[in-house]
Amino acid sequence: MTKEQRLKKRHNAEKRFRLYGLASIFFALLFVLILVHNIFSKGSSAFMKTAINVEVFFDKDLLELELGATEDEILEADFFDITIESLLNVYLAKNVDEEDALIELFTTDAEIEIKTAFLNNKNLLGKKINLEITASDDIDQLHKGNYPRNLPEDRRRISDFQLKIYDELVENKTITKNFNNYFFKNGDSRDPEIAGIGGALVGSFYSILICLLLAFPVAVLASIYLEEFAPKNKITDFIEININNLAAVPSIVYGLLALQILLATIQLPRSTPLVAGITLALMTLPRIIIPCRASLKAVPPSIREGALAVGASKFQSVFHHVVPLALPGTLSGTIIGLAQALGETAPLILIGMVAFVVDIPSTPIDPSSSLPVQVYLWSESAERGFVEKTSATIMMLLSFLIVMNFLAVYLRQKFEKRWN
Amino acid sequence: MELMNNIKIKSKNLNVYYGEKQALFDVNLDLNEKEVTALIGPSGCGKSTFIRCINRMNDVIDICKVSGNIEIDGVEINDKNLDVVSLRERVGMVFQKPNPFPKSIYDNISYGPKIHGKGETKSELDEIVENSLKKAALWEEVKDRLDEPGTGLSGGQQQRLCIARAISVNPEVILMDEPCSALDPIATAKIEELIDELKKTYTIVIVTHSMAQAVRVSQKTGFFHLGKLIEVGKTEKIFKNPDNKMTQDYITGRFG
Amino acid sequence: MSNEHTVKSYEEELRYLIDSVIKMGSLTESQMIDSMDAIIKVDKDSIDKIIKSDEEINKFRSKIDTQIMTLLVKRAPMAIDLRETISSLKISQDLERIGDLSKSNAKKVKPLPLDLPDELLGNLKRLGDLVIKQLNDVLDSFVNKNYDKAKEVWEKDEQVDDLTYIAMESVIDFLSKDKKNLDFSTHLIFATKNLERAGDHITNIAESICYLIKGEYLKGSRPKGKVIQQ
Repeated sequence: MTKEQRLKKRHNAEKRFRLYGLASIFFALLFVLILVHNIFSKGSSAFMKTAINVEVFFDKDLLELELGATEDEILEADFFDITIESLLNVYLAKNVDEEDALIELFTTDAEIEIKTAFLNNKNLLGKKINLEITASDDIDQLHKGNYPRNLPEDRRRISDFQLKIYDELVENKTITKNFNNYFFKNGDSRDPEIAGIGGALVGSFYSILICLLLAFPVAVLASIYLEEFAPKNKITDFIEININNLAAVPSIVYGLLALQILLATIQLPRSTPLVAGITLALMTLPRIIIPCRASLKAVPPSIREGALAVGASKFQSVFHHVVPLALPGTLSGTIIGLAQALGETAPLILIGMVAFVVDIPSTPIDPSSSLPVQVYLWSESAERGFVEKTSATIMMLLSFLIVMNFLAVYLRQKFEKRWN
Repeated sequence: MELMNNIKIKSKNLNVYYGEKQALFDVNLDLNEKEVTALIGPSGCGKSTFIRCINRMNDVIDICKVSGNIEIDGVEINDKNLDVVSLRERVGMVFQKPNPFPKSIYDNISYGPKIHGKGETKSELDEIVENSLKKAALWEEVKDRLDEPGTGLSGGQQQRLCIARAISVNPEVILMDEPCSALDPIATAKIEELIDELKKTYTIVIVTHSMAQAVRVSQKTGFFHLGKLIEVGKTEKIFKNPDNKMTQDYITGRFG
Repeated sequence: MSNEHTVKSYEEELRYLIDSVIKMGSLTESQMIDSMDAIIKVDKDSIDKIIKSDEEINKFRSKIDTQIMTLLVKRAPMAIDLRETISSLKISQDLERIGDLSKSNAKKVKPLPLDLPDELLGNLKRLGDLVIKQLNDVLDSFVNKNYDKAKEVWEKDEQVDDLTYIAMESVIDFLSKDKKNLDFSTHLIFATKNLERAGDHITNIAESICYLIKGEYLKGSRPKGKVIQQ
């Protein structure tokens, strides 16, 4: 082969490699785009809820309330009658079946919505007001275009009569789409239209918080000890190998561990963020130790020598000089570890977070769900309304993960600039 | 008749091992007070190992074993019970590659005094920082930017910063391990000038690969070869008319 | 002797310098022999040849100067190399002066008569032979780095002084015998003095060689013979 031929071959090899690289990136991006499009198209509608404009008359007699009634008295009062009356005014129902069908168009929480509106403005007593009452799940899905209308009635979830009402509402423009605050405020529910991730959000928050508070100090101190102070012998080698292995252990194993020790033996309350936090902390420990140790190793020995030469003790040289330099890598490793913990489902299922929890937990020892588990639960539901909510929850989860990763990158850059 | 300075550091039968390998063989060397002693010799001959014994920096290397005596002002420092931290307060070190802390210039200098309890109030520390930087001939260049990171200075300035840092704890001895090898001629000249000044106050031991530098800055020179101290004497004698043939071969460039 | 410089060009430059000095020494020696011959035989034809060879010696001087500058700048020589370099400088200076003195003596042959007394010529010849031998010995000691030989030359300067005294006496004697001898007698006086001064320069060279070899200066003052009062 002549020199020119060899040179040409080398250039061609490089061109091919670049092409492969670009192709791989292209395919990866393509899959990401498909995934994102899929989720967004299914989930974005969950952020809106359908509501029907209803005129509500706060009849004093039906409510048995006086002006200036206390909050307790209002909460005790029975809003059922005025609710039914207001709802039935939307359309003329000729018989009981039709009345039932009409009521069904609204959320089962209609009474609570009316009561809440009254609580916010007690002067409404004896007056009429137009309220946007959340529609039922079926109407919500119909309005969002997810139900086919051209099926025979017995295969539809909405009767012809209900369809008629719906069409009239649409024509009168009394049916609208509003921002779905229930999605963020409410806990889980059997009714998709009022189901929300509020409980799961708080549950995840507490779990990750406990995970952080347990895992971070233990991991960082363990890393510092192993890297800087422990003698280098077979025992420490053994420990290092084990830590590396633990990082690769499937997370469900940690769930089994938690089930046996935390729940069965110690008998901590099941399905709580406390147990979830401890489980996730155990899982995240090696994932923080590994980047933390790598960052410590990466600090040049000249820094340590400089500190020692000026009369610092070993402890001082490590904590005043080495650890600050290792902080960027440790922090970004921690945030990534936490992001992973945020998305963990299997171990949390094993410790019982699949329970149907309606209330938003107020402390870490209240039972709760978590975001990924909520996704799992809803994905198993038959109702069409949960499909969009599942996707919307995934969107929320992904957003948190992206924010956390950006935070990791930002912190790393900021610290590295300061120290260099 | 020249006035002989007192002996500050004395090594007797000093042997150093890195695991199985012996790095220093029975080194007997006296270093005089307020004088610059240069240590020359080919790479790996043990000069750096020797000075690292004086401030017990070899302790950080696990496989390093030191036997024999080193005395500073008559006090043995190879004692297991010796407080290494206070030793290093008296014996400072400047390294081959400048290694300022990734902190501000002020913090670089004030760190040492702080941990040794030498500066209680801010004004005391300010004074120590200013004095150290002045003695290191760096004050004029950095006095307006003490908050800036030490790593932002040029190579020569960084090395002077490291010298100021070593001075800040008020040592008696300054060890320099090839302090100019990473610097350009101008920075080197400034540091040699500095060494000339510093020797009035401190005992200085400098390891150098530049024989010209050894001649310029030192009063006493020791030649090491393969872990042994081959010859030691007045610098002028060593470079004009050494006694030992090995010394002469090395300094004239007859490396074989 | 010792092993060679790792950088071969350094080794070559030093050797070349030493060679130049040795060659310059040989030339100076030949010139001095010719000059003495011319005086003793009163050979006026060889004067031009001797003057010309002095040019050769001077050329060597500048060549050696240049070589030394280069060595100092390039190599920063230490210890024995430094001493060799500096000694070469001093020795070449002394050799040049010796050459000048030989040339000056050759010029003095012109006005000399052909019938100078044998005793006078004999004394001059003895002085000249000794100085030539001194030069030969000192150059030898340079080539062979022979300390003892150089020291001997240094010590023998006393003899040179003594023979100078004797030669000078015979010239003054000759001068005082006949007033018409005054003219060329003064030349002879200067010629004798030049030979003594050549001896001094040779002694300088011997000192340089001793310092070169031992790294120490010779102790004590030079041995001095009888001094001529003028």
